[in-house]
Amino acid sequence: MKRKKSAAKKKTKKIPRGIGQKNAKILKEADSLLKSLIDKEKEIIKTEDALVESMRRFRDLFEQSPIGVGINDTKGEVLIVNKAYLEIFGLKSFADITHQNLFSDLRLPPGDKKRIRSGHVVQYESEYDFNNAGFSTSREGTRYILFTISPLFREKEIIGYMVQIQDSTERRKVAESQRLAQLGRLLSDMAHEVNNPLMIISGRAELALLEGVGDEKVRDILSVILDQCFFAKSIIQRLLKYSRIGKVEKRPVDMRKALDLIIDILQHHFKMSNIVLKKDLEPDLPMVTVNEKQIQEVFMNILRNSADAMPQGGIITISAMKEKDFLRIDVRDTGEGMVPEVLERIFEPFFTTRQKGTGLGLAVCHTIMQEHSGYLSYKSKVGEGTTATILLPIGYSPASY
Amino acid sequence: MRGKNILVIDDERQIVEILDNFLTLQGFKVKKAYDGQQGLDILKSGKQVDLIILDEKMPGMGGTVFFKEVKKLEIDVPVIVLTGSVTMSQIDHSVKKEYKHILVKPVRLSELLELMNKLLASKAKGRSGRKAKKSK
Repeated sequence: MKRKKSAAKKKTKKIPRGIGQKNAKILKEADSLLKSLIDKEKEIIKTEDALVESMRRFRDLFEQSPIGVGINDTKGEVLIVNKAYLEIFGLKSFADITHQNLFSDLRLPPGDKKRIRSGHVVQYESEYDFNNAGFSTSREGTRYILFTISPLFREKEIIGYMVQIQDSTERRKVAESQRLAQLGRLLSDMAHEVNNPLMIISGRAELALLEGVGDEKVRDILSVILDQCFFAKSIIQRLLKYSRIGKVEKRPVDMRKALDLIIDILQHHFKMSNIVLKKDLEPDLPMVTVNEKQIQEVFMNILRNSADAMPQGGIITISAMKEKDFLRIDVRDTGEGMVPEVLERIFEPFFTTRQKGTGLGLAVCHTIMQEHSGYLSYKSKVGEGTTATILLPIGYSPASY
Repeated sequence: MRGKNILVIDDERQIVEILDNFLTLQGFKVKKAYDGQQGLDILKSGKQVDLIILDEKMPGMGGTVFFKEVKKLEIDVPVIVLTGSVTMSQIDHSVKKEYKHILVKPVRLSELLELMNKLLASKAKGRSGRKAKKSK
């Protein structure tokens, strides 16, 4: 009995322990299984969250990018664009451009269509005159837009095209002013170096003339040398002006007074050349923020050109009026006019039709107007005359230098 | 204005020579210097100088420093500055305002003479006037 008891005891003691162990093992396995299931579930949730988060991020990246982005299909039809894309073109909603096609509406340079289709990335800049854009836009004036077009690949096959657009107007302006500043330094250094020898040449010539050297022929030659030295000096001065525009103070100016002053200065010269000056200024002209000296220079150039176009005399009419956000001033002459080939090139530095011209007058004017965020344009008809139009922004008050 | 003493300072010998010939021809007495220091030495030596023609850009003591040194001497001499650059971009701002008479090279000698005569005449006149102002 004792044995049995002990055996039974042993048994009762043993069996529960064995079962317990097994159960515990199963329980443990179940538990870890459950745990791993929960972990997996958690992981899945995490992954889903990450996926959602990642999608959000890409959406933000797309929508909030300052670069305009559009996706087009293989035919070039636009599928989706971001906010910046609409803003750069001044469009209200996507509905405004559902018709837009990459290959026909985005001014793709000829030849680049082929390049894009064969998988190349293409970049180009285009000038947009939003006042005559040909589509409904909230933007105004002339802006430069930089396009980058890249094919979208999936497994080596083009499945569409990405169009990136940026307004590059400001960047161009900065680059231009940097270029001019650099040119200014170069010119300033050059002026120092060149003006000394010019002074020696002119001084020698003038001195020789004073001393009565040589015969009449020699003296004529000396006069030419002297004149040419000062002509060279005037070219350098104008070039310096051309490159140093912009670093000046601007103040609110009453253009009526400013114009009167300019007319006063030129009145005598005009009378001598049989030119009648007519004024047609609106009574309440708005003030404009300009550098008066520079604007004077612009009008002097325009008026002198007008006078030169009328060697037999004629009429110059100056009219001024408010036009939208601009003060518009027209200078119209009854001169000989310009052929389109000349008109096209009048703002080019060193382009001149005159024997004694430096070809810098209108180039300087053009740059001055740019610095004032204004515009200078010319219309001309041979035999009828020329009209210069100046637009100066009203209330424009940039940081003064 | 014949007989007046003119100090010409320019590192370019050719220019000094031209101005010397020209001014002598016009009856002036010319003293020559080839940099600011030489010019200053002449002034300090107590020699009579009625007008200075000064080149802006010179090696060694340039126009700007020379101008400041002359101010320290407290002598009343008109200065005509000749510069190669229209914009005077390299000129020290503190002196820029003091340069009242600037001619951009190349200068017509007749134009230089006109300005010289004007300054010498007003200096002769202005002396009594300035003294009168001071006594107020």
